[in-house]
Parts: sequence; C-alpha cells; structure tokens
Amino acid sequence: MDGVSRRSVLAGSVAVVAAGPVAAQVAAPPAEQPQVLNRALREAFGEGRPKPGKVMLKMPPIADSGNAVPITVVVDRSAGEQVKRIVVIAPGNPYPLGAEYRFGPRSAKPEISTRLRLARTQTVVAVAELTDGSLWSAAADLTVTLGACAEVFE
Amino acid sequence: MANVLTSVPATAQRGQTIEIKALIKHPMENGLRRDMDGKLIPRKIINSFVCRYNGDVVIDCDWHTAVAASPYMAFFATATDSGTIEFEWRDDDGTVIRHSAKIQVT
Repeated sequence: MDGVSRRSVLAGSVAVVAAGPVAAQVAAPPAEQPQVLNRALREAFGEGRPKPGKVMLKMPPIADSGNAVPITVVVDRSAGEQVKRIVVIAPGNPYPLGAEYRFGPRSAKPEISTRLRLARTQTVVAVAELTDGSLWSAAADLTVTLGACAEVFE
Repeated sequence: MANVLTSVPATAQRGQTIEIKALIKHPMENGLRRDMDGKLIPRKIINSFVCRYNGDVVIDCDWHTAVAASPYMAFFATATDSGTIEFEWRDDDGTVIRHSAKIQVT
C-alpha cells in the first residue's frame, strides 16, 4: 500500500475528528426544529399554515446569553386589514410556544416589543393572524453564544 | 406594587398614537431548573397580561416560559379620550397585580 502514506492517513483522521463533532453541534438544533415548529403551529392555529410576508421580526443575530433577547414584531398590513393576533414561536426552547398577543379595539397598530428567553441557537418565528383568517409569518436566526468551542469553527 | 414600572404619556392630542410600556419585576421561573439539592423548582410565571384603556382592551397577551424574567412589553394605543390606562398581570399562583396610569387627551 504505497499509495496511502502515513501522512495522508493521519491528516484524514484529524479531519474526521475535527469535522465530526463540530458539524453535529452546529447542525443538530436546526435539524429537529421544523417538526417542533409544525407542532407549535398546530397548537396555535390548527391546520392553517402561514405564508411568509407582511410580518417583520427584528431581533439581534447574536446573543451572549439567551436570557433576555429583545424582539420587535411589526405587521405591515394594507388598508382595511386588521391584525387579530401575533404568535411568537421559539422552536429551540423546551416549550416552543412563546407568547400570544391579541389586539383589542384600542390598539393603534400591530406592533409589539418584548424580551424572550431563548434556550439555544435557533430560528424564531412570528406569525400574524388577520381578521380574515389569513396567516403570515417571518423568521429570524439567533446564535446564542454557549461557549468558545462552538464559535471557533463557524 | 413597587415592582411595576409603566410608561404612559401624561398628555396627548386626540387621535395621536401613543406608546405604552410596561415592566414588572418577576423571576418567571420556568419549572425546568433544579435547586442545589437537585429538586425541580416549581414553575411560577406570569401567564397573562392585559392592558385596557377606559375599560376597552388595547392588548391581551398569553405568556409562556419563553418570556424573559421581569417581562417587558411595548405596544401602541390611539389616544381618544382622557381617562385611565389599566394594566393587569396574572401569576400562576393566582395573584393578580394591577396598576393604572392617567392620561389627559386634548
């Protein structure tokens, strides 16, 4: 086996060791989140599924800690449209349904700001339900800085 | 109710959009953490928040464990008449915390 040198075998094994756990760490949270998101959507809206659009979700892309991440949700409705409620979903949290905001007759515009507690790196989703029953959504990615090891290879 | 902080403009023009902010000091204990002896700390969060303007709802919220400790909310109302803006927080243990602010509309 002249073709396989000691050096190339060593280099390959180092690459596997380096890539294996890191890839798993970075990819693992988002991979299981779509199903969690679907469950949360069913809990909040039944069989209805939102279309992307009309909603704006403002959130910082990186948080040192997920303890209090500021978010703002704004719904850009056209004339005559009324927003019934906004639901915020955090699929990476132990309980993914985050909060529901229903707008009453005295509300001036469908906009809220609050702070979320986010367990880990994830894609937060905000869904708005209009009074005509249509559902609209926006998503934003957040990286929660857990420790140095997850950051080095990103 | 010293642990509540709200922001409502004292005066406003009729028809003006006003920003209302509300903050309450609360641990929002999510029921997943353990104490020093390894026992689960029971869940204790504020699960509902309502703001009313002269009795009519501005915003009515359900909060779950993803809401950060000492929950903060900012939202908007239309100033239509002078009166009272009431805030109401409901704790898991049944406690209801109320607070109100006056607004003068000209």
